[in-house]
Amino acid sequence: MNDTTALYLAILLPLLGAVFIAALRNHPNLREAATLVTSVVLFANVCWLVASVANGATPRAANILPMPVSGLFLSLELEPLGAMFAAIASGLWIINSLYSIGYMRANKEKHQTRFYICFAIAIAAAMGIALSGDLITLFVFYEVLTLATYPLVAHKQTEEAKAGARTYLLILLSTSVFLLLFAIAWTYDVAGTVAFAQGGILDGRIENWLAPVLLACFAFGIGKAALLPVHLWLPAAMVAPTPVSALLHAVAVVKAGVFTMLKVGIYIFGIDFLEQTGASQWLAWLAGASILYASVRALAKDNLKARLAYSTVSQLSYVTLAMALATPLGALAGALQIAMHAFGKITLFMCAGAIYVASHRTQVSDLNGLARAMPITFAAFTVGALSIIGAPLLGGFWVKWEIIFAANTPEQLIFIIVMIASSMLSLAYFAPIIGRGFFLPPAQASGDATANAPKEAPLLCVLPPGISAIICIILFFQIDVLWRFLKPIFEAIP
Amino acid sequence: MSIPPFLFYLAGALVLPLIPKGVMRSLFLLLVPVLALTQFVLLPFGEYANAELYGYTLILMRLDALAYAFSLIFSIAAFLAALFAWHIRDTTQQVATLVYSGAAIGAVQAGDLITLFCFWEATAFASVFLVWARRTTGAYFTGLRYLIIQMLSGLLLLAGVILHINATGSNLFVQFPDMSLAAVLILLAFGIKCAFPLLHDWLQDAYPASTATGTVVLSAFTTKLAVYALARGFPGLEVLVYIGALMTLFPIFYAVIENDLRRVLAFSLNNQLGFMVVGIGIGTPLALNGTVAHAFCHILYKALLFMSMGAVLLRAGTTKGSELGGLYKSMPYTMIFCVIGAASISAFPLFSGFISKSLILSATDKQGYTLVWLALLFASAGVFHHSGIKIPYFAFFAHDSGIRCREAPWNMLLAMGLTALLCVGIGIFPQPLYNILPYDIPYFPYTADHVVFQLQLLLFSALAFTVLMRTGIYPPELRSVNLSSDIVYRKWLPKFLLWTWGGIEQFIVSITTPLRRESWQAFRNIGIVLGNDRGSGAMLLWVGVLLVLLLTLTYVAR
Amino acid sequence: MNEQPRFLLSRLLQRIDSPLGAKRIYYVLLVVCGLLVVVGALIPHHDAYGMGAIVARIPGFYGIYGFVMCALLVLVAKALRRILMRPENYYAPHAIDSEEIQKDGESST
Repeated sequence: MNDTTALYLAILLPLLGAVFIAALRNHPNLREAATLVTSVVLFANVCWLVASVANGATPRAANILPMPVSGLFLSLELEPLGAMFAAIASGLWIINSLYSIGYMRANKEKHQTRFYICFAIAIAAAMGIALSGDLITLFVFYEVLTLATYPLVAHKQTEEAKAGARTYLLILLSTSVFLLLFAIAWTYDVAGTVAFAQGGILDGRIENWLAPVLLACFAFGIGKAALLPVHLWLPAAMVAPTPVSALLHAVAVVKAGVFTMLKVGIYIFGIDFLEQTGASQWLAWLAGASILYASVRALAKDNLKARLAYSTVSQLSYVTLAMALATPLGALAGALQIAMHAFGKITLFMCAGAIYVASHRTQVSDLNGLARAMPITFAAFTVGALSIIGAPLLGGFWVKWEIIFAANTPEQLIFIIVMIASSMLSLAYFAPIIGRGFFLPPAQASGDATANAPKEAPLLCVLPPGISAIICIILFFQIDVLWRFLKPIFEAIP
Repeated sequence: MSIPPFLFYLAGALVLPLIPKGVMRSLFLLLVPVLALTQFVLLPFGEYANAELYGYTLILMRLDALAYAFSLIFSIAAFLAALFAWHIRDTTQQVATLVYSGAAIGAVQAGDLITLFCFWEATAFASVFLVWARRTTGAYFTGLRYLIIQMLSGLLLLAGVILHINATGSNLFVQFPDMSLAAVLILLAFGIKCAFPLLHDWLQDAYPASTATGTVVLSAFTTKLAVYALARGFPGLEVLVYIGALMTLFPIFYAVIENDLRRVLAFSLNNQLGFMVVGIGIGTPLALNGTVAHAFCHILYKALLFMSMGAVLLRAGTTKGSELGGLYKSMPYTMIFCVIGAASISAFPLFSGFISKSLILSATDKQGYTLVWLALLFASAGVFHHSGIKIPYFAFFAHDSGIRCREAPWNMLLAMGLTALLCVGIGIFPQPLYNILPYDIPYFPYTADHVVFQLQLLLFSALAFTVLMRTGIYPPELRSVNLSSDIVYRKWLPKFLLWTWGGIEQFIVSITTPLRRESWQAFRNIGIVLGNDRGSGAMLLWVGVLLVLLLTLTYVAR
Repeated sequence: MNEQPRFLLSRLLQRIDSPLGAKRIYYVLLVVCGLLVVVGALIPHHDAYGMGAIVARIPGFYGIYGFVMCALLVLVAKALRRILMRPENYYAPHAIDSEEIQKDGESST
């Protein structure tokens, strides 16, 4: 097997898995086995790719599929950033599949085959985004991802679910078609290419005053990055079942958004170009505003999943902010945040789901005393929350560290304050969940208190968040590995 | 081969839940501080246990005179607190206590700023569980406030550390050479934990909200860790002299009118920190010796006082002065230990406070800070007045409240007895303590005039108390709360924010139809989330505190 | 109120726990304070620096300072109460101040 084959396989394997899942629709156990086997094989395949990228190779497969527009082809290329994203998405797919099985069965959800098929296609799309060698390829897989996740968001098929999914589809499609596609066309027009290249392709090819406008088309066009005005799809998508929320928030969708944002910043504009023209200064301000606004909204939400959703909006803007600071250090901090947030947030969502499975509680104010019945779930939640907050000994800490480092110039000191404020706000919206769960006396249930007393959710709902929580801790100590892997994105970093 | 002591505490915290509750576990809790102590107590000074992380060299164990003295007293405090809490069967409290003590010792031995920061945050996160462990709604909200303020301290430290590393390229924790922005941020971070005036409210808010045993643990570590950090990073920074003087003064007024005796102790804790901060600000060898010695003695007698009040809380169910009185009939041993603690904090000759506070007072006068010296003298009289007289008087004497309870359990009495023994022992034989101080300066506290003048000061203060009592001028203990600067974030800002938030929300609603439903919901939900129909809750209020701090920071940042 | 406490120490203390006992303590304190002033004026001083050396020459300075400042402290604090004092439930339910007194003490679990 060579690297190019592995590139194709990364996209084809989940699709193949989807076929198997469809074929085994009448045998739930075999069907789930198909999902698990596919995810493990995919992860192994991605690990192969990661290893070769770590050795300095850039696997490439150009012009593999001609597009309707003459002269444009799909092309794949793998660099460290994409390899990291692919590894996270495929690795979390294993954890999330385990969890999905536990959750979907415990909740006796319908249409599980459809669920697993769409999930596999979404993963294939995520792989495509991670591996894409130019903007056109990225755009195609970006849209596939949107469409593949639509049935997942609408899974419950209630009016509410359909309305949420409509908003989801409407915002993501319209922004991408009107703004992102336009921005890609514009880029092609001025640069003559849309292929990602080290150092960017726009330097000297676009008027300095137009660069911020183009950047704006990208920033708002990438709706999945959930920047302030276009973030509304994310709360709307909260109607989905919890494993889907985990997919949206941690594994694929929003990560695909901020990943695209980073790719555009690093490989289309080029960090140096952004720094020289200051084209991204406004974006940093907007990202800062997004961070604070979403945190305050999260604070005001009593619904646990809604609170987590706004937390995601806030945390995603860390990536945008880090990129917009226009320093190599900042961009790498953004890349770190993709990884750290993925593990932190998937833990939180899986815990929220486990709480729902075990007790059918959804509101923060109903969580009083629940931790005594579900200590493992709440312990994992605490670890995940602390990682998101950025407490030391957890992976999320290094993101905060690097962003503050990157913002350490007189003009950008304000963003250090944003980081401090955001950390405090995130503490303020997570601490009540922990404090209530562990320390407040449970609400007086009438009569059936002993009969229906909640206990820990099934093993498959508890084990996955436990694993991801442990990974959050490991990431703190193994940061050197990740850092060395990502460093080749910029030659300049010592 | 030596293992950093904090690892013992962390490993202990991990193993503890596996040990069956009861004697075995309590014994284990006693064992951990002893084992950790053996790792450093006889070690020559130097750096041990370095680690590489992310391109930085972390010094996990730096032992010098300053670190040694604080590590030693922290270990003793951890041991005594574990003995005092022998009867507790609450796993959360036990684990939190271990992590908290271990983190405090780790922070004191941290040789670099990154390690310091990690432990700094760890003390915050671990200690909030001791507040929450009371398991009431009030304690829950108090814990939230406490945690967020501690977190702010940590974040300011983080920002300062990063700016410092960026500017100097070094992450060593040594004295900061000049007051750059980085140093100001770090000073502010230390100041929050050290309860500087206006940054102090978390202390009086949170400590009385903890459990009977939890407060003893809390009282030992967080603030003294901050004193250590100040002594390490900012010795001789003159502004600290005035900050410290202010810290000794204003709490004593509050202490006179405070009803909850454990909060009175929290005020006097703040007042005692003031003495130490003055010592750091003066920065001469004598003054720094005084700070370390005073921190050492202070941890013991303050723990003793909190232990005695903890025993009262356990047995009588309250520590409110208005509800107590006459307890000497039921708890005479506790009373004796309380009086010993009171005598120590008041710096009676032959008790520990006398031999440590004198150093700071001498150094102050020697450096010509006459006004500050007079203020400290006043504060000494004041602390005798409220900690020395008020605490024992209203709890154990005064008019009989009719409460008849059992004497404290044996383990509490033993813990108090040992602590009292140390207080008296150090008071009578100060030399062993003087030997471990950072600087080798001979000092003789027991001169005839010093003893007589100190007795004059104290006994005339007692006379004033007696006269005011007899004439009925002394304010009675009333069930009440007294406003402090924390009203800004506990009342005003939430109200203001709710008002502005409401205004903004209405504005949005009026112009954006699609947003309308969701926004209103958010507005309504605030009330629910904050758990209060008036909406003045802990969370929104923090948003407000933050905004104010942000504003302040923006000015500093220029 | 004539029950006997079970501790010897408590029984001893109960003997002086009366208005008369309090009065006696007061007079003892007065006498001791007077003695301290006298002794303080007679013994040699060795504070050779600063304010300490100056005030050491004023007989009874420390005593007077302590007495006056403590009286002031109480008076000022008492006045502060008018501004600062609020009912116990002022911050309720977000503070512990007005929470129920634990009847049997803290549970040990």
